Amino acid sequence: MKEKMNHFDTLQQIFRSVFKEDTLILKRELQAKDVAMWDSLTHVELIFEIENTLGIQIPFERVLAFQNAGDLIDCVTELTQ
Amino acid sequence: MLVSLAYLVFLSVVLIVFYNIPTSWRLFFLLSVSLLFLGYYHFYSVLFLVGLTAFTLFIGKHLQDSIEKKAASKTIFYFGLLVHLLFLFGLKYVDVHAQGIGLNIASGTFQTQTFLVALGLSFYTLQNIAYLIEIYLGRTKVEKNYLAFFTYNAFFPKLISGPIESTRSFLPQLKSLDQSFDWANFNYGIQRIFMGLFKKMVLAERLLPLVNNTFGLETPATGLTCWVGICLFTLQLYFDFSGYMDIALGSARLFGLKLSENFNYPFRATSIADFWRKWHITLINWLTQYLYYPIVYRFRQWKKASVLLALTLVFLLSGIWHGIGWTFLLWSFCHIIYLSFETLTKSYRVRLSQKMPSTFYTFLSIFITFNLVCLGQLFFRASSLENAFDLLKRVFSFPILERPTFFAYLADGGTQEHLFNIYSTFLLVGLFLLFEKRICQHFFSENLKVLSLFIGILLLMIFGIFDSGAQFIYLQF
Repeated sequence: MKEKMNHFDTLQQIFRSVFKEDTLILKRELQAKDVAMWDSLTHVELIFEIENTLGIQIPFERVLAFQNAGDLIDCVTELTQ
Repeated sequence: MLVSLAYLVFLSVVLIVFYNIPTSWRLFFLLSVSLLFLGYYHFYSVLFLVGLTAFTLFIGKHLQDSIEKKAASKTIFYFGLLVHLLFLFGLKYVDVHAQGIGLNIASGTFQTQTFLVALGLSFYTLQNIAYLIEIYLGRTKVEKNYLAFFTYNAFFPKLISGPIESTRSFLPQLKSLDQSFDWANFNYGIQRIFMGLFKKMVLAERLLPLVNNTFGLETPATGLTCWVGICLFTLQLYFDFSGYMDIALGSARLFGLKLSENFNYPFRATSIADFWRKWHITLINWLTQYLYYPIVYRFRQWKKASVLLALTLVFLLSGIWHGIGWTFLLWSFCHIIYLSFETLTKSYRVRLSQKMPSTFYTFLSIFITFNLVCLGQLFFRASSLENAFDLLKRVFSFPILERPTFFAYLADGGTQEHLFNIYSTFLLVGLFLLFEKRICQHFFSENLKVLSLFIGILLLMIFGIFDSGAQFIYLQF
């Protein structure tokens, strides 16, 4: 549980850094339309930063299927377990 | 094709028979009439459609078998892909009428009367390729209902110019054609078809002569007049193509089938990226899913460069898909430059938007986006590079604004009748664009709007152009 929280904090930091919003609160229902800087470019940066920071590789099919931040969080949790 | 009395009679007869035969016969019936429809316009196109669809099913089955047996699936996959690309490239761009066989570069430029070798090929080829990719990636299973798959490719409302459907959204609908006649679908269908006819016969057809005069080699228009003429082509193309889509979607709905939307009010786009989310949506979705994302993901360690690379390849391919020629290549380059610029300046633009009043920023963004799109479409429509650059030169030549004869050049001369025609066209187009969302929401309804339909038909009869003989622009692609 603690590790899960840590991942959540790490992900929030990555979200803030990639989308350049220091006050961004990571929520499961967060979508691209809710964040001004979230487009196809920053989405790639986001995936790249998460993979590098957590030492995981997110499969392409999973990346395509993400509908919101919750899907991404679930995928990261699954891959880091 | 879809704008003729013959089509409306054909559609009515097919519809009556469809709802009066046993449900188990409906799929076969839809396939038969679709092939008949295609064969009526071009017999050999039927052979290509049937041949390539059968080939796709054959390859798909062997591909899945080899994946299950862990055999060499890559070879089968690439063979299937190659054959489709060869047909797509060969039939679109090789001029078989020329002495010897060579690339038909000249016909790659904008010609609405180009001879079509295989109708609909550009669209069902993309569907077939997507089907093979999905099987190869293990995201879908091979389709065992061959009749449904043939109808998926051949269904007559979408056969010639799309929308490009995915097997996931359209095949399940074809496999459950057991619904009884539904007034809600009927009302929606006929109102959508009416809207398509209105866009094509009133708006697109009235703009056609103005656009032809602008792009004609003899045009004396300069300055702002010339730019207005260039912009009118983008509007004409939109009304023409989205009108076709309305007729296709409306026709499909009469059978209880829902096709994908291809347009979402593109002239409200606030950036070029936003524009491409609203214009020819099914083609862009296809390119994004099967080209853009795989490239970006494969080279994601390059960060921004991976996006720029993917954008370049996607728009080069999109340009080639529309035609081989310098004009299409320049159209591609315009959009590559626009989107690269947007990608690289995103954070600056976000900061700028926070400093400006939001309404002003939105209007400014829409204005800039529209003009940039029109500049790109200039190359899309021009008959040659010389034609395109000549028009650009005219835009920047003086006087920029010739007030007394401002629109005369677009109107076959300056007589009062010509000018009246032009101003009535501008009024109709302007009002339609201004209230487009409301008009569409009103008509794309499952309730019959008797009074609105009556007024609309009256306007169609008064302002419609019925004898131009012009085809839909996208038939040539």
